[in-house]
This record gives sequence, C-alpha cells and structure tokens, in this order.
Amino acid sequence: MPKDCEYGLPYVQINREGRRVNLCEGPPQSGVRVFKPSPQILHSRTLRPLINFIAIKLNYILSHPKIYLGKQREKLVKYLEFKKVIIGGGTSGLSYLDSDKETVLLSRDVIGDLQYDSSPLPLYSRDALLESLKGIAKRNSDRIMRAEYLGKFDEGLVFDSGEEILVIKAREVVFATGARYVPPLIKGGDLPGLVSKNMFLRNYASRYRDNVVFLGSSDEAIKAALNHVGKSVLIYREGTENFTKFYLEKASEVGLEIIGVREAKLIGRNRVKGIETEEADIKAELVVYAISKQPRIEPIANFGCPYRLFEVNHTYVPIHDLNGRNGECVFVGGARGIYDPYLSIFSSKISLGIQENGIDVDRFEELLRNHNPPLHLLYTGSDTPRKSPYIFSEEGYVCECENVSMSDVRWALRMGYNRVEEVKRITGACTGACQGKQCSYLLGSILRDQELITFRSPLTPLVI
Amino acid sequence: MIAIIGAGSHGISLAYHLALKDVKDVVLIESKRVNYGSSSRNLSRFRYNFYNRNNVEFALEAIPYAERLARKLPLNPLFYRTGYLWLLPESLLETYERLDEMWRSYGVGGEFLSCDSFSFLKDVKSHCYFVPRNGAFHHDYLVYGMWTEVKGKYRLVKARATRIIADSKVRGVELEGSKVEADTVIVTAGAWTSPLLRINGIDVPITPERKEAYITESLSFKVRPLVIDLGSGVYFSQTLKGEIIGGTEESMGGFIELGTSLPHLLKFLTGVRRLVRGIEGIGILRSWSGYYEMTPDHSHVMGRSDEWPEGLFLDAGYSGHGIMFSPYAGKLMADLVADQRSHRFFEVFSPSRFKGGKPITETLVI
Repeated sequence: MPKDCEYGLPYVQINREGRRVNLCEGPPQSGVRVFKPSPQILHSRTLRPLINFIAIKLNYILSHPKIYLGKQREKLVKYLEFKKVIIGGGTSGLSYLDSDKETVLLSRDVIGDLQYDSSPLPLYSRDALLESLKGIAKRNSDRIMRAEYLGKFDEGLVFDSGEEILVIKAREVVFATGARYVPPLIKGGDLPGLVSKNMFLRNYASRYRDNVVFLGSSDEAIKAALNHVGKSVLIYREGTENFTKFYLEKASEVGLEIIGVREAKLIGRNRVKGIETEEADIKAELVVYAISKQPRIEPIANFGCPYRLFEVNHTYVPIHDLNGRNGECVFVGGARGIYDPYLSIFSSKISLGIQENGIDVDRFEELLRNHNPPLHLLYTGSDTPRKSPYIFSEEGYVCECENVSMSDVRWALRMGYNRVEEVKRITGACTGACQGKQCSYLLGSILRDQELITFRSPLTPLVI
Repeated sequence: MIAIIGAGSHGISLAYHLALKDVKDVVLIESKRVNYGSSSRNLSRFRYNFYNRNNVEFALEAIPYAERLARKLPLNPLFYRTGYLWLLPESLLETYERLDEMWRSYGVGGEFLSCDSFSFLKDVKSHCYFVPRNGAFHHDYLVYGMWTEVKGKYRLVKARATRIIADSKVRGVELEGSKVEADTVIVTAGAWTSPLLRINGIDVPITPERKEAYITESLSFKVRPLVIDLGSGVYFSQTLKGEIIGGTEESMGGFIELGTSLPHLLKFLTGVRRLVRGIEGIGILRSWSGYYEMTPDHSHVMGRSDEWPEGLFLDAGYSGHGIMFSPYAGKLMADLVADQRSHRFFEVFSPSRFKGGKPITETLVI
C-alpha cells in the first residue's frame, strides 16, 4: 500500500495485468508485495552457492509484472523554446507565473495538496489563498501546460504531457518543484497504516475519528493533526522540535497532546495497532508522518544545481541566497524549504525583485524567523547541527522497494561504507522503482551525508 | 612506494592483488570517488567472443579467473552464464560463420538457431546466433568486493593527479596542492589516462567516447541472454532485478558531459519493444552515460614501454570490455610490478605496438 500519493513514489502506480493502476485513485487498496532477499543474505559467503542457485537458476525470487500493455498511439516528440520556464504548479509556481508574464509553467498538477488542508494559517486566510490561486490558474491558463517533468537531457528539459514528449529549451528555469514528507525510521514502519500527511488529508482524514497518531517535529505535523476531528496525540523525537508559537497555541486550543520521545515503534501484526514509546503505549489505527518538509532535490540536482544537508532540521536544501537564487538556478516555495503558503508567495515575489505593499527582503526575513523556523538560520549562517528527527527506532526499513533495513545499513557501516552513494552500491538501497525519492533522504539524514545519490533522468519512468 | 592512479576496477584489482602478495606501501590516487568512471557505468556482461584471437585468448584466461575470484569476495558478484544472442542480418551471416569456426577452435563457439527457440523474441527476420558460455555479473559487487578487502590496508588519496614526477626513473606523483613520493607508478585512469601521460610527453592513444545505457521498469525474468541486434544497433539483457538493461551503437567522441540524449534513449526503447514480446508499454526507469576508453585498434594496453621512465606502468584502454577483464588484468599487473613476473600478454598488448605496426585489431566492440 502506498504511504503517499505523489506520482513516482513507491507503490503509487503499479502494474496490474499489464495496465498501470494508480493506487491513490478510488478507494484505498493494496498493491502487490514483492519478495526480495536482504543484502546480507545475498552476500553471505556460506549461503552463496544456494543464493546463486535460487537467484540465477530459478529466478523465483522476484515477482514482477509479466507484461506492459502499450497504447494505441505512441507519443510524439515536440521541441519547444521558451525564455523562462517554471517547473511546478503549486502556490509558489503559480504566484511566480502571475508576477512574470514572460514565463511558462509546466506541472503535472495545479494547486496541488494545498486544497486538501484545512488547518489555519498564521499570515493569510486559507480560503482567500485558494481563491486567489484558482484565479491565477484561470487567468493564465494559456501559459500553463500540464506535463510531468522527466529531467534534463542533452536536448533540453523533457516533460511528458500524456500525449506528447515535450523537449524544452529555456534560458531560465524556476524550480517550484515543492517538497514532500519522508517517512521516519521506525520499527514496524512497513505495516499498512503508516501514511504521510498528504495521504492522510486526501484519503483518510474524514474516515478516521479515533486512534490517529501524528509523527513529526515541524508545524506540518501539527497542521496535519488540526485536520483531524477527535482527540489525538503528536509524537516527535526529543530534541528535534521546530514548532512555532502560532501552531502550539492552535494545538493547545484543540487539546492536541504533543510528546517528545527518545524511541518509538509501531506495533501490530498485519497493520498498525498502536505505537509504543518509552513513556506509554498508545492505541493507533493510523499513524501520520510529517517529520519535516523535504524539498524535492531530484529535479534540482539532476539539473546541476548544488545542494547541501541543512542539519538544523535535517533537510537537504538547494544552495541559494535570500532571494532564492544561485547563478542560473532559481528556487521558490517548497523547493527552497518554505512550508507556509503565504511565505511561498512571498518567495516568488522576492526572487523577482518585486517590492510592493510591505513586501521586501527585510520583512521576508522577519516572517521567516517567526513562521518558518529554522529556515531563516540558513541565511544567517548560525546553524548548529541537531540530531535527525527521523530516527525513532534502531531497527526498521530504510528502503522498502529494495528490502533494505537499518540492520543492512549497519552491515555496510561495519565494512566502512558511510556515504549514501556507497551504501546504495553495497545494499541496493535507492535503486528500486522510486529511484531513491524517499530512502536516499532518510539514509542521508541517518548518515549525516552532505550528498545523496546521483538523480538521473528520467526522474519518473519515461513511457511512450 | 607504489602509487596507483585511478581507483576504478583496474586500479582496485591491482591493489587487491598487491595486498594478496603482502606488499606494504601502496597508495591509490582518485580524483572523483572509488568506482566513479566506466567501472560503475557499464552493463556488467562478460564474453569470450572477440574478433581478434589475442582477445579471445585473453578472455579464456581472464573470465574463469574472475569467476573464481568472485567466490572469495565479501560481496557476491553473482557471476552467471546467460549466453549472448546475436541477431544477424543476412549480410553478416557469412562473417559470423567464419568467426564461429575460429571460436569453435577455442571451445567458445555457438550455434546458429531458429529465432523461435527464444520465446521472449517477437517474430524477427534476422538469423539467430547464440553463444551459451558468455554471461553477466554485478559490477558494484565485484569492484566493491575487491575494495572492501584492501581499503583498510592501503591509503586512498582523494586528489587529481596533475603530473608524474620522473627523470629516467619515476619519483612520484604531483597532485593538486601536494605530492606523493613513489618509485613505481601505475596508471589505471581509464579515459583520463592519455591527458595525464601527455603532460610527461608520453603519447598513448586512448580517446574517450561517450556511450549511454538505459534500464527499464521491472519485468518478470525472461530475457536471459544479452541480445545484440546488429540490424538496429540495439543491445540489451535483463538484470536479476527484472530490469531490461542495454544501450545502442550511438556514441559521441570526446569528454562530452555525462548526460544522456532523448533521441538515443527513444531508439533504445523502441528497439527493445520491437524485439521483445509483451512490453509495448514499458518505461525507461533510468539512463546514464560513461566513457568507452578507445584505442586505435580497440584492444587494451598493459605493461610498459622501454622508452618510458623506469617504474612507470599502464593498464587502460579497454575499449568497452574493461570491467570483465579487471580481475585478471590486476593480477597480471601485480605479478609484473611486485614480482617482475612477465606474461606473454604484456608483449601482445604492449603500449609500443601502435608505433611498431602490430595492432590487435578488434571489431567486436559492444
């Protein structure tokens, strides 16, 4: 079962009798479970003859799709040239589009996850925001193309519109590619019932009243909980919290209990039944994670823009200045680590050099300090590394696609491999269907590595 | 002190074999990261079938050696025989019949079969020629398997080598901002070998050619052999994880940025879909590129030239078949460097051959 609905993440799209099925559309359903040998068994010297016999002679180990049915008509390749291209149609992408008439926006979805969230915002009314974004999308519909970004190739930026493969040459690229929630390292994390904030808002918020537990160190986790009707608990790893005053007050208004723990694990046989911490055992049918909002580094790194691990909240962020720029790379909104929608809009204006109605860099910095901690530390340089907010257990899956557990990672560490790239090469982590879109970040945070894997094109499967 | 420039499969294999001999003072110099170049950018297949007898003879020693070594490593390189399947247009049939005769004399011949014998293939017009002895392995598990055994023993210097310090003898290696003293230097720098040696006035003709590789989404295992379609220039096989992996004949000369080309990718994808049943809707999961390190005759260079400073050695220029030969090449190089034990292959694959007019002409570059 998928943990999140983002296209390209594990189990979101599966192959069922040759056809691509999106497990996030329609009622929640289970996918297929693929058995893979753990790396430690694969490399065992004593078991090697047996393993090689099974893996090679029988090929029984992996159950993969038998066919991939084609479409009637192949996609055509179309070459286009634009002055400025915005990739991503969320809050920041749309505001950028509205403020700069020389841009064209390409995105799979427009507006996106914002519309599912009903938690209060500190700086702006959510309804007004949504209305404004809908208006922008409508007004500028002639400059919006619905297409999935597949990455950089020799010939240009490649997108899939469903009907065509678009190859785009652009002088400037604005990354409004957003952010996602990376699942934590937690024992039992492979049990159905652990889902991301986005998955919760889209598919579960209205269906669960009781026994929902939220996990996370940022306002995003409180926001998720504020969408929940009924009493709930929020758990974060002690010493990693970044909550703001605004959301702590909202949490207290609704009676959300917030607990810092040293350890936690999920319990249950076939699905999550509860969460166990050193303090208490809590009954849980659903556990929702929003540990931190992690910018999608894949399109940014794939394009050639540098990034680093920001160890205050353990997010990988593109290297940029307060204006969101680094040479020819421009980052707005979630792509640069911002998670408040109003600040997202602000970031687009700032990067365009717009100064109006109290919008200027000083005000932006002040708002960041109050409403997007600890991101403002990125620009002041006064960041002190903190521990990873993702680690709740010593055991658990690091990469579900390739069946790599924390025990396998420790095995690689014992051999002296402590870089994400090395652990990938040794254990096979991050080489599965999602190509490291979640596990590489988790692994990076665990290993405190400045570098993730090389994110190669296409960023999601290229199908014609 | 022995300095090895380039910590790819050949440099690491050499270090691994020096460690087996208990050689103490060895340093590896690497500008990017262990396994960065062609060593991690290949399809990990092995074969005995070459156009040139010398390469067949090299493979006959090198491949069984690699299979034996794989059993001892702390990682499992998963060597297994898959066969190579050539799809031949009518015009090439005679050439391969002649080659098969030569290969048979070495015990590595194949069979001309009806293409119906391969149930994964669609109806193809070509002739099918299958050699069962060739196969596949996992390149990372091979190279990191060797590296795991030596990394604690030898120092790895992460820096770019800018010059080999030498008069009539080798004295060391100049790095960016520092240097390493050494009386023996072995260059195993793949495509980057020639520019480095040229600084010392040594001309070894190795030129980079960018080649791309692709893998598809996973499919139940059915394409066991490496299929080489000489009609379209597309070649592919399947990994044990179910992905179809392969490339095309397209290449670009020079140190071209290591990206990939959409038209090349589409040529691969349509080529594979045209040949394999039931994958009309399969997608490409990932693409990457690396440099083939090409010599004028497409055979590798190993050993040294008498014209070079004493203590300078080379092992490079494998022209697309380097990773499969790395375990054995490292062994031969270690024998030469540590024990002064030569082998007839140092004569055959000598860097002097380009001047002496004794090329090892190889036309089967896959």
